[in-house]
Amino acid sequence: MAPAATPTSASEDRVGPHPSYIEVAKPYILQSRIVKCLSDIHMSDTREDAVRLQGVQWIDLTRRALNLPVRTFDTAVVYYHKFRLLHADTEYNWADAAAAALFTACKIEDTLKKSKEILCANWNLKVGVGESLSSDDPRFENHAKLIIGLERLMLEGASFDFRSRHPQKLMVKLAKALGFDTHNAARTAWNLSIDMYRTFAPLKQTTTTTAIACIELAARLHTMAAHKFIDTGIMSYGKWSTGRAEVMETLLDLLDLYIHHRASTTVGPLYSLETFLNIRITLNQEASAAKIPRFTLYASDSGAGSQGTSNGAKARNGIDPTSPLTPATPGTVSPGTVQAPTSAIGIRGQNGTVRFMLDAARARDERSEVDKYHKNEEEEYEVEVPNEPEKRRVR
Amino acid sequence: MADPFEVRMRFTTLLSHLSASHTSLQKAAVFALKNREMEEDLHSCILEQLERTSMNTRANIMFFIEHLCDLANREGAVEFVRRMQRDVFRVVEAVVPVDGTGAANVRVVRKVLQALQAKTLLLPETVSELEAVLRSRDIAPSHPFIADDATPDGTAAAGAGANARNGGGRLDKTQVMQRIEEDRERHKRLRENIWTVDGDEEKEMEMMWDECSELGEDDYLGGVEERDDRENGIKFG
Repeated sequence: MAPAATPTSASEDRVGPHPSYIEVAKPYILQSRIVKCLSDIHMSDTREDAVRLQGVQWIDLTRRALNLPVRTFDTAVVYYHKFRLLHADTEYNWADAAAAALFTACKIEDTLKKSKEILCANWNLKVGVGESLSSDDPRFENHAKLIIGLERLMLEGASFDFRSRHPQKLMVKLAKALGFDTHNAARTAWNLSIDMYRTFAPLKQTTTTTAIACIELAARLHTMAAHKFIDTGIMSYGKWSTGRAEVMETLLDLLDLYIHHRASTTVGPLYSLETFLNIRITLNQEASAAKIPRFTLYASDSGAGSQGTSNGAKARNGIDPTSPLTPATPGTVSPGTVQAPTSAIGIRGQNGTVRFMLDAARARDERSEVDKYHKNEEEEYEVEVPNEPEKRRVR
Repeated sequence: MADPFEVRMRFTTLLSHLSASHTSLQKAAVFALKNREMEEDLHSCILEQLERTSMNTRANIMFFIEHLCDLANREGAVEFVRRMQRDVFRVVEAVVPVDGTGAANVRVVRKVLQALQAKTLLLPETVSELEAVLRSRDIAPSHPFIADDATPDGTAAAGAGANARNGGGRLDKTQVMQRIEEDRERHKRLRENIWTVDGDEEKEMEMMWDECSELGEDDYLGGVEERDDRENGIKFG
């Protein structure tokens, strides 16, 4: 028998520079990924709901106090959500994350505000005019520095992808073309589009999907004939490159928000709980009749159940370079220290370079090309060796 | 209750140290509101400083007055506004005096008056009367660089701007530079107006409604691009 060659450990004996980690931008993050991210950082549903709603409210109130346009709000909330998917909430204060998200969004949307101004505006909202401060008050000094430090993590969390989506403009155009009344249905649609940012819908869907969903829900709330707004005329889904499944998912996301957290929204208090429940029932019936899945799935998700225990999630038992979710070091930050949260990106950055790319295809091509040089390919083959005659023992 | 003398002192200091920065205006305005029970004293402080400080500071005080009236109006402290309305002529007199030394402040005053009129804190008649006064104080028509005919006494040479404006006295160079810096700062802030929206949501939606174009090819194309991006993410995510 030919001896088998022992495989050498491929990773340690690397020759040449580290191939570096590539972090690919994800402009869309679907529900299954969101659920997985949150479970990886051990975030319970109730806690996550609370932090999400409070943070978005913080951002909304503060941006209005600063006279910032809605696009800054949109971008800030998306950054806030993406940040929270990566960092365990024991590592940071949600209000700081909200402030940092707004600060970052101000830069991206070209509506610059100093971090001190943001903190000061929020402060002044909470106290009366008698207690209000100006933004150069030393009270904000250290806090402002922390926010600026978090900005880097915000940008990394979004993979430096500065493309942002703002459904409001398209939604206004649609509402206008449909002849909505500016004081009624159109206003409701606008407020729905703001409330929508309290859900994860903006991370999951395209601009057209979200705009259309807001229009349809506004129409339903104003008891307009819903069928006029579903995939017909100006609202034809083909024209807008969307589909009933995506719109339905968004509508249900919004209704879930209104049913479970009505008081924490803008539109919620204006209608009774029953109204929302009735709309949900109608949509549920439509969805089950047409077998519309609740959430869009990744290609790797298909065949798995809608719970988190799907094959897609478990299959990743190796080191997955494209989605860092758990930090290598435990997040033990003592309560007294004000420290920026560690992120998996930061950890990997200590071992090698982390590069951020927008184009997923390019990342894949590069990886397959580079792997040719880094993977040791072992081949086993048998070689015939002539037997040596055994020496006989001489008795 | 704060000592009235100290309040006056602190307010005077705030006024004399006003700059183009929004924070300094805000600080002073908030201070005034905090001590609104002494509004008569504070108002006299303002008039005092207007008549004692440099032209630059007077310009800054003018902007401060706009800020103060706005804040006072919003917070229901109408006494500040009333006193200003009563004394507005005296204020303009101080900021743009007869002798032409305040010519650099004409634009400032005009701008503030118009802002106050827009907020209905000043009557249109008052503003037009003041406008007439301003026009008579504005030396632009006789400025050697702007006018067609050069002045015969040849003061169009070194420091002409400063000299012509003063009609005699020289403007301190540091003051001129400071004024340039402050104007630059104010212009920067003005650019914010391009994107600022009223905190009240109504305005932003209405603006978008009025200004948006019809649905067009670009909108549809944007939808196609986004869908393709999303589908790529689904395939390879």
